[in-house]
Amino acid sequence: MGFIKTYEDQFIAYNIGNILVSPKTDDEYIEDIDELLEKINSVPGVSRAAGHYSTGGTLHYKGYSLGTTIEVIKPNDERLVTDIYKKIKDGDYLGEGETGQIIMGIQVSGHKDTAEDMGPTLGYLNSGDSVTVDFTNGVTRELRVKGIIETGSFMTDQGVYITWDEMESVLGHPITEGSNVIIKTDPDADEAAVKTQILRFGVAEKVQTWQDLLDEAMGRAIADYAMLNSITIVVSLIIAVVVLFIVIMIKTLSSRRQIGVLKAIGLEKGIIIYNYVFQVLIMTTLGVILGVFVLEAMVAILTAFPFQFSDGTVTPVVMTADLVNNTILLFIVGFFAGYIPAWRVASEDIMIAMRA
Amino acid sequence: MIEVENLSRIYQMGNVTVHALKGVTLTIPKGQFVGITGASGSGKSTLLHLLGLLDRQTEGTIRIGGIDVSKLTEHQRTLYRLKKLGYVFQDYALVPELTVEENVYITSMVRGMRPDVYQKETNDLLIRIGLFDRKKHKQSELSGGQQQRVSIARAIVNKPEILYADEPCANLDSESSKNVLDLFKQINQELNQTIVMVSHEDWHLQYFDRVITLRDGEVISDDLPLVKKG
Repeated sequence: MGFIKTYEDQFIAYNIGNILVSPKTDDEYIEDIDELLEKINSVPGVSRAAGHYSTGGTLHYKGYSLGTTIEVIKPNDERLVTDIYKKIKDGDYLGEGETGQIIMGIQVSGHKDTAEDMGPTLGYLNSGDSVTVDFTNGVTRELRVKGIIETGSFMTDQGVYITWDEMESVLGHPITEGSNVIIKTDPDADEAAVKTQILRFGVAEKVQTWQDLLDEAMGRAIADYAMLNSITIVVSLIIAVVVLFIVIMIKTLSSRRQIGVLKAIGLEKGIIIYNYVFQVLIMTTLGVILGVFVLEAMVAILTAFPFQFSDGTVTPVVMTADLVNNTILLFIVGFFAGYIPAWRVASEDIMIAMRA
Repeated sequence: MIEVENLSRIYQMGNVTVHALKGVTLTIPKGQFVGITGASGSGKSTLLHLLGLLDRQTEGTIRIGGIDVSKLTEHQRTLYRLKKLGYVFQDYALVPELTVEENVYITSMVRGMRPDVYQKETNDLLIRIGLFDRKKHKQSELSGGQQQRVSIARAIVNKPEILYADEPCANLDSESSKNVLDLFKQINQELNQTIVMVSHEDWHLQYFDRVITLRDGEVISDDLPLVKKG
């Protein structure tokens, strides 16, 4: 769950915000993006919308070349939607209206230690260095690297950004269309409700919340993780049941004569069985308390020292509902794990049990 | 009163059929201290188990207080054992995890008696058997004789109609055995308690009002002990 949660958080903070508006299926671009931004920004629940224009380009630096997608942004809007501006490792974020500047992720600029690179890069460059950019329309520009981004998200750290004004100068005309619009909603807003509001405001483009997108892109992965999680739970429960079953079986078998005597002096089978079931439930309760303690300790430790993955740091996430469900399940199977062996021995003939 | 008529018990042990009891008929009036003796394999323990509703006969009837206990269901037999019968076993059969007093009042608890009532009765009994100061002790902290006395206290705490004892002195030295038998005799005389006890020790016979001797599953004698005949 921690991996998925990390991915979700990064997806919202560095990629699409809470909602993404993209062109209709058959269109390459959204027409009249300024009007669309104005419309979206007036929708209740929308904190800010930022337009993106994507183009292709090849970056050159000291003999290294790298083909990539260049995201064209309006920095002031972008700051209000994503948190990339907080993750500038070296240099600064782009300023509104700036030209001749470019910022890029560390997986593009490259690390000093190339072993940390996870794919092709420009070797290793810092803010203040210049890169040559060949745009797809044939224009070549020398751009100064203003900042290097390091978010911990592999996808974001592969990004390259220039300003809207820079791209207009490359194209030689104003940009009226956009590749997509990313939207940040108000903190207490329900994204699905905001999406509905956007559609009601007459937005004809494709509108998707981050959940919609992740379901689309990560549905299989989430399902796989869920299945893995379920298998782990089932295996854990089987181990718990087997252990409890063996413990009670040994206890009852070693107490056969005592059980026989208790029956002889008039204790009913049910009392004897529930005595053992009660013992199992106490063991289960202690196990749950210990398990929760260990779990919380592990979460605390792994939050302080998280796992490092290619998409960033991953800390475990414990879902309370899962914890409650699994605890209930453990008590149910624990009940049967205690009941069955106790019932077997308690059902034995008194004389046979007493001779044991 | 116990009335036994034509009681038989046949065991099947593999291909071998064992006739443990063969048509035993006898009557034990209330308040009698009866000893059942005989050689090993004579059927004395089998008879005790049948009389104590721990086992079911192959043939015959057992009536206790006028009730044909042979016809009781398992549940009814369990309740009958709890309310009407008391048992003392050769190896004491105490619950090792429980204290002396808990072992004594366990059946009273199960019967649903009030804690203050069974606590008082337990204390009275422990005083009577001389173990009041050991009431918080566990079984492992007691001698064999003390354990057997706790076992007797447990058996009589609910004032059973009949007290069954299966070789209660088998694991005790002579002095402890004498103490246990003295206690049985005291209970028998002071409470008019019917006691049926299995024993194979000759010197125990002096304590009994009556001795039933078995051989090969049959009663071969049923009389006063020789010592009492003079």
